[in-house]
Order: sequence, then structure tokens, then C-alpha cells
Amino acid sequence: MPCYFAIIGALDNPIYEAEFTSPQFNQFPPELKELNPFILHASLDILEDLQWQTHPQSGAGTETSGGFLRSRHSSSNSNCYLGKIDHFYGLAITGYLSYGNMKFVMVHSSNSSNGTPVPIDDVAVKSFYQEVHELYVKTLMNPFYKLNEPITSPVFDKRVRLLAKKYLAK
Amino acid sequence: MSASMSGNTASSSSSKKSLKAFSDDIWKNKTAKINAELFTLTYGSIVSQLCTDYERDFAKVNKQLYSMGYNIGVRLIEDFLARTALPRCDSLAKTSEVISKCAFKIFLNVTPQIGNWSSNKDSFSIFLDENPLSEFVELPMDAARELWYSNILCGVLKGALEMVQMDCDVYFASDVLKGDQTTELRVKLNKILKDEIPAGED
Amino acid sequence: MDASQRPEMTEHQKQQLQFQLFQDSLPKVNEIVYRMLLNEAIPMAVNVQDRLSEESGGHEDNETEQGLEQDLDAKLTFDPLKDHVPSHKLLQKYLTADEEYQNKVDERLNNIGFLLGQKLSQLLIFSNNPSLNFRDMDLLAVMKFVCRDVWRQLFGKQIDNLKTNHRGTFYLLDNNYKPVESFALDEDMSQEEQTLIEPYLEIPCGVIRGVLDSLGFQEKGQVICTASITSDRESQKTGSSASSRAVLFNVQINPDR
Repeated sequence: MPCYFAIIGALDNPIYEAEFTSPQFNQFPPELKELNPFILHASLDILEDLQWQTHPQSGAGTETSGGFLRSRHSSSNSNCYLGKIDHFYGLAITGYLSYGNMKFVMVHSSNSSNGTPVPIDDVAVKSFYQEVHELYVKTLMNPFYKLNEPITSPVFDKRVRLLAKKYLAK
Repeated sequence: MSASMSGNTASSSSSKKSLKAFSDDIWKNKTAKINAELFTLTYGSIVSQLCTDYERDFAKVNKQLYSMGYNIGVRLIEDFLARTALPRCDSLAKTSEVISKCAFKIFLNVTPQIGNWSSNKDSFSIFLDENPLSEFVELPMDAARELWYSNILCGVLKGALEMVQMDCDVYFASDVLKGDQTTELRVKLNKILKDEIPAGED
Repeated sequence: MDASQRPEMTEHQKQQLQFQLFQDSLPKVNEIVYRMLLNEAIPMAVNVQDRLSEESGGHEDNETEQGLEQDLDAKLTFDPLKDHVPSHKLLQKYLTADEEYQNKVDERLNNIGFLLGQKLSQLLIFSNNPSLNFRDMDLLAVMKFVCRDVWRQLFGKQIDNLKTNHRGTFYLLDNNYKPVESFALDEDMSQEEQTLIEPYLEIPCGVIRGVLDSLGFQEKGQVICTASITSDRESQKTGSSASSRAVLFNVQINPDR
């Protein structure tokens, strides 16, 4: 399914955006394509509200398995994923919040145009977000990248697209 | 404690092995360690600040890093000699081996390859397959042309070698950060210094 | 470490142990190269200041008098150590410089710390530390993160004492500040020594600002951090070596607009 993904900075400034489509058949309808950034920004408010709610998963201490090896992308960022936060006609919007208040947001569109809501595969989408989060932290470690500036690295872009192919191309 | 190992003139293969074992032991048992990522980030912050200060005039950044490295090298060698108690190297080949198997191992926990010897054996290259300084680094376009990101290493080697009476040129010949195939540090011995006051410490 | 003790560990202790093992499994370098890098940043910052003021200052003389000749020389033999100044002379320079010059050097160091703090905090948070739960984190919890996790990374020890007035002011006392540990200082520091130590306190001040910035305290001037060396009563009482120096960090955080 086609998706529109963006990372939004702490000051609601765009950090990165990408459209995931596959050339054969999955394209955003042109009238929607242009709306994507607006739909996405509209959902930021919801995301901000969610940010201040205590998350049911946090503090429970249930996610201790998984071991310490490469534990960087196991339990610590599991409650960053906020799931489906909004919808707009047939589109679904999911969100993810990093610790530095970076907002990761995605507009999911379905292939059919009958207006039925897009089903979200939470496991896959969550994995996508978590791995992008890790890529983001790695980018952040680059001394030439300054916090809150747009990410222009082609390497980052390539890797995010690979992740999209892995988790979202269904 | 290192006398048995350094004193004899065993065959080169066994002395190689013992130098490695000797360094591994120092690294494992006699070295206080810190997270490599912290080191990487600290160096990155310094380079980043220099690029800002010199308004992205990367030739000046290279020079500053070299200078900083030199000031570290002239003191780091003291620690190295105290820690290892190695005798003076009798050849440049031996020096190169001590640099890669011992110095790089003890300080940065990497063992770069030595190679590319000149025909008259007065210069060689250090190939850094791993470089703890440049983990995470991706050079922006303008920096990729001119900046030698890890140039501090040249300064450190220059300073350290000078303190053991070796006047060398040390410079980067290539860097994977710039899209090169390898990261190659070149060391060229100019002359052995007489016991005199080293430059810069007057 | 003792396996027989494990059954008695609480869930939290188990997590802590896991985290410790994870930390230990990460790549390491020799502590001394990190310490030297950190401390050499001070003379370096002085050197930069020197070179920058030279450029804006006596630039023209050079160009007219020896410019051509030097250009030729530079092309024939490139010496990366041209105009090199050893560290102790740079520190001497700092000592005798005016306040404006010193402030510029301090600012440069503070900024290096800021860049480091911004990134280090994200790395530490991302590394799954079980004692962190940022979802419901207040300012005090953030400061505890600085005292415990950030300090342990930077200096291998925690802040010894954290005090707050609960209105945004925090005092962090480090009884044995590592970067100046090896300095030979007199019992009663002279004014000179005092001045010379000040730039060595800038990087951690910057780190504290950077950590807070990356956790949402981003407005200009929102976080003010200063540090001063204090006479170390603690160690005098216990009669330990007089060389250990206590440093007090004063962090003032203003509320959001």
C-alpha cells in the first residue's frame, strides 16, 4: 500500500519526508498526494495530546525478556509507538514519538478507492518505526548533523526506503 | 616483565605472536576503558566546533587537528613507554609493528594492517580497517573534498615518533569517508634525530 | 557477579545487571586517550582563538611583506606544524589574556560540550537503560539522569550530591572532578590557578545544557549552567589526598514561556 512518511522536529519543523509507492500499481491518487503533508500536520495535535498521557505500557516492567544483546531496539522504545492516531476518509494515520520529542508520522492509503479504512498491521508498522528510530539515532551521532535540521543524507533515505519495502510493502 | 619477550632475538613469527599476546594482555588486564561511542562523540563534537570556528575552511581544520594531535602524542608516548617498557626499535619494520600491534591495540583496541613499503624501506602505510574516531560519520559534500576527518592521528604519531628521536612525515593518503577504498595513513621516516631538545618543547 | 545471589535479585536489579552486561559488551577504547582528548581541547580552543584573531588582525602585513615568498614556500614544503604552539604555552596565553579573550575560549569549549551532551543523551536513552522512563519524567528525574547516567559515562563516577530548591535551581557537587585530578595544585589555590582551572569546567557545563536541550528545554537562555571549584572539605575531613578537587555545578532552568 502507498504510504507517506515524515519526521517532524520538536518545533513542528520538517526533518525528513518520503513517499513509499511501488511503481507497478500502488500510487497515491494525485489529488491525495498533494494533501498528504496537510493531513499529516493536522494529526500532530493529536500526537501532542497523546504525548502527555501516561502510557499503559510504561512502568509495568513487563518487557524484560529479549536479553541485553542488541537490546537497543527492544523494550526501551516499545512504548514510543502510538498506533493509529487518526483517520481521514479512507486514510489511516499512525504515529511514533522519540524521546527527544521527534514525531514520526505516516499516512497509510489503501489500494482500493471504496473508502473503507485501511487495515494497519501494528506489528509490522511498529517494527518499521523502531528501526527508523534507530537509523535516526545513528544519523544524530554524525557530528555533521545538527539536531532539528533536515536530514539530507542519501544513505539515510536509502535505508528508510529499504525498511519500508521490508515492512510496509504488502 | 616484558624483558623475556623483547630481549631475545627469536624468529620473526614467534616475536610477532608474542607482541600480540603481550598487547592483548595489557589491553585486557591493565587498561582502564571507556565506551568507544563516548570517545567518538567527543571527537566529533570537537571537529564539528572547529568546522564552525574556521567557517568550513577545512585546510585550517586539518591543521588544527594535526596540531592538537601532536600535543597529545608527545605526552601519550610517555604513557606508552611506561606501560609497555619496550626497548628502542632497531628498524622501521619493528617500529611499524609496534605501532599497529601494540600502540593502536592498547589505546584504541584496533590492530591496523601495515603494508605498502617503499622500495628503500623508509616509508610504509597503516591501513585502518576500523577507525573508532569516525564511527557514525558521514561527511557533507564540501567537507568530503578537503577534510581529513581523523587528522589528529597523524599529529599523535608525528609527536610520539619525534619523542623517540624519529623525524617522520605522517599524513593521510586516503579515507573511506571520502569514498576511497581504504583508509591509509602514510608514515615516512626522514631521519633519526640526535638526542637534542625536540622541537616545540623549547 | 556471584550466581548464587541471583534468585534474590529483584526484577529491577536483574534489569540493571543486564544493562551493565550490555554496556560492558559495547566497544571500548583506552580511558587515557579520551581523557587526553578532553583535556587537550582546552589549549586547542586557545589556539583557535589565537589563529582567528591573527586573521582578523595583522593580516595585511603578511601579505605585503612576505606574502609572496611564503606562498611559494608553502607550496614547496607543506609543513603541518608551521606555527605550532605547545599546550603549556597556549595555557599560559589564556592566563595572561584579557577577559573577552578568555570568554571566547570558554564559549568555544562550552559549545563543544553542548554538542556532546545533545548526542550523548539520545544515545544513552536509546540504549535501553532500565532506570529511565522518559514518558513521565519531570525535571528532577532529568537532573538525576544527568547526575547518574551522564556523569558515569563522562567521568566514570556519579555526582556526589544533588540539591534543589524545587523552583528550577539545582546544585550538583562533584567531590572529585576527574579532569583536574592529575593537576598539581596547592592547598590554597592562587588566583592564577583558579583562572587556569576555569576553562576545564566549561565542557561539562555545556554537556548539561546539551542534555537538557535534547530533552525539550530548548529555548535560548532557558538553561544557565555555571561551575566553580570549591575547597574540598569532604576530603580534608577524611584526611585523603589534598589533590582531589570538588566542583560545584549550578544549573538554573527557567520555565517555558
